[in-house]
Amino acid sequence: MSLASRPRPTTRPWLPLAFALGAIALGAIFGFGMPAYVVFVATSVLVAMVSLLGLGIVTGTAGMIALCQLSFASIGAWILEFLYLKTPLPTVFGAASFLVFMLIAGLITAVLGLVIGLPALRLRGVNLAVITLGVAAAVDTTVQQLGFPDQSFAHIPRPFGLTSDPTGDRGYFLFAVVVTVLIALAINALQGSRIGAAWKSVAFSERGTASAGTSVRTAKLSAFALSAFVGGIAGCLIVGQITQVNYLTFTPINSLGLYVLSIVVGSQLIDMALFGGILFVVIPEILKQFRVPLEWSSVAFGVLGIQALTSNSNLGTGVRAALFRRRRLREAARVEAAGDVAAVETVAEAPIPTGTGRPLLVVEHLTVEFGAVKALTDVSLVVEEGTILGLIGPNGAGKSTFVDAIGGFLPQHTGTASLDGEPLDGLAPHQRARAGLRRTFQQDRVPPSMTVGAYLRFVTRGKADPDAIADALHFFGCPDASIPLSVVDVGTRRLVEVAANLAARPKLLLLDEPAAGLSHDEHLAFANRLRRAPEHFGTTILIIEHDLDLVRSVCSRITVLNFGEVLATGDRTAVLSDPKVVSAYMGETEML
Amino acid sequence: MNIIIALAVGFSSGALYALIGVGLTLMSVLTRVINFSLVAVGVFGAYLSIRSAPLIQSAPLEVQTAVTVVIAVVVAAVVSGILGWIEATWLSEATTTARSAVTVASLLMLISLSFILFGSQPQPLRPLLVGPAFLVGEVAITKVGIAMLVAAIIVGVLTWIIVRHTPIGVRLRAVSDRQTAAELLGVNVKALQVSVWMVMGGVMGLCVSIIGNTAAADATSMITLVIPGTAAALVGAFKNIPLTIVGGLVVGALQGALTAFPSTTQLRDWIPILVIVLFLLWNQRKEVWDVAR
Amino acid sequence: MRMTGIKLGATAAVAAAALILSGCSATSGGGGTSTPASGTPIKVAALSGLTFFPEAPQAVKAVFDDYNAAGGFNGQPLQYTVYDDKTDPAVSATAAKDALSSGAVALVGSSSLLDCAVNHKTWEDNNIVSLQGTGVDPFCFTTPNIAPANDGPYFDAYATLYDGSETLGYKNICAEVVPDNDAGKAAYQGAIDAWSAKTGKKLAYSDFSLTRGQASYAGNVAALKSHNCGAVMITEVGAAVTAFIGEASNQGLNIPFLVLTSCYSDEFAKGISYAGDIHLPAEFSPFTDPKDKSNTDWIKVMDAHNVPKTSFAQGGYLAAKYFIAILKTIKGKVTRDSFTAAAKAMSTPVNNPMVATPWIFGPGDTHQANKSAWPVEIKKNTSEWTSLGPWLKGDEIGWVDTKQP
Repeated sequence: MSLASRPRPTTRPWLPLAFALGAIALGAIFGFGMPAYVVFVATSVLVAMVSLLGLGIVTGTAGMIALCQLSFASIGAWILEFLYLKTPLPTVFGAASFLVFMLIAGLITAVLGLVIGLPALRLRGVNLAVITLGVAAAVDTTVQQLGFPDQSFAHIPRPFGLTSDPTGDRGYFLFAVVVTVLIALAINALQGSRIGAAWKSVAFSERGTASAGTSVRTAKLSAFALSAFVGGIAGCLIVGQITQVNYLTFTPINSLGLYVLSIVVGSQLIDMALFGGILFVVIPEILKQFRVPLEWSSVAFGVLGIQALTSNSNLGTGVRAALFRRRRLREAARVEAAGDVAAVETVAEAPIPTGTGRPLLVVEHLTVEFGAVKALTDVSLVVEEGTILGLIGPNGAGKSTFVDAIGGFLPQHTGTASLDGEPLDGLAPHQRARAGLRRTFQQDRVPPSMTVGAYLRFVTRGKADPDAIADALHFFGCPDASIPLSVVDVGTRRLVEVAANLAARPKLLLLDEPAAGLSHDEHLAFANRLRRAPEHFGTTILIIEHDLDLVRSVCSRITVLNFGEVLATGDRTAVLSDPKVVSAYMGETEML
Repeated sequence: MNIIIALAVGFSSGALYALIGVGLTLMSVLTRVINFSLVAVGVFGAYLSIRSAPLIQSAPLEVQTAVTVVIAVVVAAVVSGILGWIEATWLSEATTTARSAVTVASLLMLISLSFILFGSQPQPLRPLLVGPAFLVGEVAITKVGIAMLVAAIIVGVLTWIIVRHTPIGVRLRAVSDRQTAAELLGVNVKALQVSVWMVMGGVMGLCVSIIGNTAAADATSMITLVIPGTAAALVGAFKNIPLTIVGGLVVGALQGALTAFPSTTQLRDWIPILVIVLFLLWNQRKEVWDVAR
Repeated sequence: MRMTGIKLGATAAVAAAALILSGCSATSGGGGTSTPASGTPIKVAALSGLTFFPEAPQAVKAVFDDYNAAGGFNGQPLQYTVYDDKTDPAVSATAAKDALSSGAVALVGSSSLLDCAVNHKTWEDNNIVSLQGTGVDPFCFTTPNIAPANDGPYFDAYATLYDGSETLGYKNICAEVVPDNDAGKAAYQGAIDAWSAKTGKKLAYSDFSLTRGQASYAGNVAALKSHNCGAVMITEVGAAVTAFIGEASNQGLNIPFLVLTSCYSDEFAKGISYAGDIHLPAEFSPFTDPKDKSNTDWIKVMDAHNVPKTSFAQGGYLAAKYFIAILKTIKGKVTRDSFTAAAKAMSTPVNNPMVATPWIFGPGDTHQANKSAWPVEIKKNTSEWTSLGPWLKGDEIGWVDTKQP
């Protein structure tokens, strides 16, 4: 039994819950043991932490710039106040009003986040940042004109009848602790789930996410909506703490500061969000002690933010890297050992797969033009079910363009493609993936921010159980499911990508130079596994490769592209000895 | 007041937004960054320049003005250049998102530093152009508005000429498209990019000196002005300069019209966003996958 | 690790720069006490939006430092701490608790856009009084534990309208108001209504749509033009008024402006060049007038301690003087309770040539002692303040106290 499949100590699902209960207990001791002023300030720390948790989802995990987090807080606060002061609902819900209204406010804010996010995410890249900044300014003005329902006159009662004196402050602190812990638990659970994997994937590569069958827009929107929800909750917590608010608490500049702080600490990590909350409150307090104007805290955050971005790390990953260094070294060693074992393992040589004879992928007259450049001209081919087709050609022949077009990333192409009788035209990449067409990438598009197992669960869209995942990993000699991808080298990551896509049991898998980065021995092992893959996984494969030995050893049929046109297509031996193909490769030392 | 006149009211600020938008678009295309600090460096330079007033009191008024403007341009260019140098040194391979995030942090820094160094009182930054150029009915088309629009067009045209028809332009395009390849070809990427940052910063320093404390009375203008500027650039999808100029004018016009009718006040800041988003949704309806990702 | 080293280095550099530059910055507050008086310190606090209103507490500190140097209160020095509330209600509430827990006996020289609204109940609940240096929101003038040294924007608005219509003879006055919230809006409207009642005149046009941090005033100015205004009253702060008047210049206007006291500073005047007159009822006697004698001591104290000379600094100076005056009436130990009692028991007002109405705390539910303003102006096409006088006194011009919102 290889090291890779030795059973791991089971992950402890009760651990987060234990942490949560411990945190609440600690909070209770703190809240009733420390001086009243400290407790009041600590409540501000928790509010900042909740805001940072929300930001952490959208910026830290999903990799977008969102500059209106406090606008969500102000909307949430406004709705809470409105429900309290302008509706008869407080009499309906009594002492639980605050809690109920807080949830309603969070939900409405989430919906508004969706409304804002929808158009913004229809556009590309950093345009969301621009829209969120505009929203921050617009919300600021609107809220200034409308005024909050309290109008600096009424006071919002605290939850469960808590008073506004120091004892009430302590009780409210405990309430805030519980709310924060619950939110942290929920976010922690989501981060580990497929949704969290989708966020991390979309931050790393939009194409990779789409070809894994996940809609990029859904991934980004869910992140944005959730951060809006959490932002709204933070706003409600502020109202409970000081019982009155106005627009000055939620200005766009404060949203900017919070965003920068989120980057500095890496607030997608729960403990770092707490640290960020502490920084947000404690740094101004320290400045107060030294009689330094509070603007210096913004300057400090700005400098730290620039430093974090230029070093492409943040306090969170820095601290984690230091703390877990030894564990990472151990894990890396295990990965290496598993790799060695896998290479040495001998498996019986499998024959080149023959197909069922039924055409699976039918491509007709595919043409792709980029302006005056014709990348593909009238390419037609057929991939027979159950076989492995090799797509070869010199550099720039259009092989990757072909895969991009079939994968749905070049909607401007002409010509048709159909999979298993169903036309692919008009389908977005993630829809094609769900229809049974998967692909891997030439460049590394496996996000390093999750574990191997989480990545497989993400790519298989949860349809593969742990046994199937372990089986796919073992099949390709990949590291164990619990290993984080960040310690896995690039070549092995590509193998993981292949294994994951096969585990999804697609009808057709397009492999774009999967063996690049593997050693010679690993090439042989890979070829062997690839030959067994169609039968093992029920998948047809189309492979782009430069290593002609590999191509010769796994493919029954080969298509050769040159300058965007099909040069030759047919049986392996016939194509490779075709004089046209030979002269196209003239000078290539890999020939013969 | 009828609606046409109300739209003309916003011409002055619209032209300013158009110029800022052009600057943002150029930086986006040439240096792959949405520079949220673009206005901030100009404002900072202008505020620092007026501190020189006591030193040049004895000189004639024209000389004083000229010296102040030169200082503003130079300081803005230097501060912008430092930011560009940071980006080019450590973030040359980073995503547009990361590069833009740095300018968010620097915006925060510049606002705070400005309050610390220059205080919170209105800055005695006298506008260099005052008064109407001509009247459209009751509405004045201001000199400053014309100047900003002309500047936006000139900057746009000049850059187009440089980028398309000069060797430096070729290098700029190479750098913005395939930075590593350009570097390997011997192009001095860092110098080129920092130059772009410095030129844009200098332009902003000049622009703020001209508009004076009518639009930039205190440091919060660093953020208040860049927001409609980004909106203008968004209309051009951060690529298309003529659309950006039109976008800026439209945002200014809408803002002016809505402010002139106080009953519409609550929609005032939302209508520009809505208009832009709707326009973009229509204009960018063919979804394009970012080559880099 | 090298990265952590760089981070620590960066933080240390920023911290050092902060400490060094805070000495040179406009808002520095100094630190600690310097006093030959060596008894138990009497703790005094203030809340301030230090970004926008730093001068009032700075002026208080200057007065207290001199007082301590001269021996303090029977040998007891005054220990003054200013809490920055960042004009943010959350921070203000925290600052209030901080001030209370530090053992302050009173608040002197507070200046913020909102601290009265946010904290007046806290003051009442904790039996502490606040002698505002710069009171702005209506709750500064309508609650039992707060007594500002300044006029406040509502009296100022009334005075500037009255001055405009009665003394200067402007017709068709229009108003541009930034309401902040319903309470502020009601207070401004109350002042306008009182002016109408007293003078029988009405505003030709009023625009309550201004928001703080508005990007462009072009629309507002255009609307003014279409209403044929004879003069414009605007309630915004200095920087915004500068932008508004700049926009007016750009659109070819030259009608006079009636502004409020926050514009009364040399910086504002230097930054303005307008083809019309700008009138302002200063909350205290005009310090820019070289012939004025009432501000001599104030100027001396401000210069000695490097406090910028503005109307807000005058308010802070006076608040400090009033505090000392009340202190002198206390027999026995100075505590929060004894000071509050002394303030509320005050029966003799304090006179000071910087104001025309004597100041008193007293037992009432509201305190709006300062109801006098001194007209100053910037003549057209000039950039400096000219003193006009005479005093506009609330009783004489028909002022009605602001009502509790």
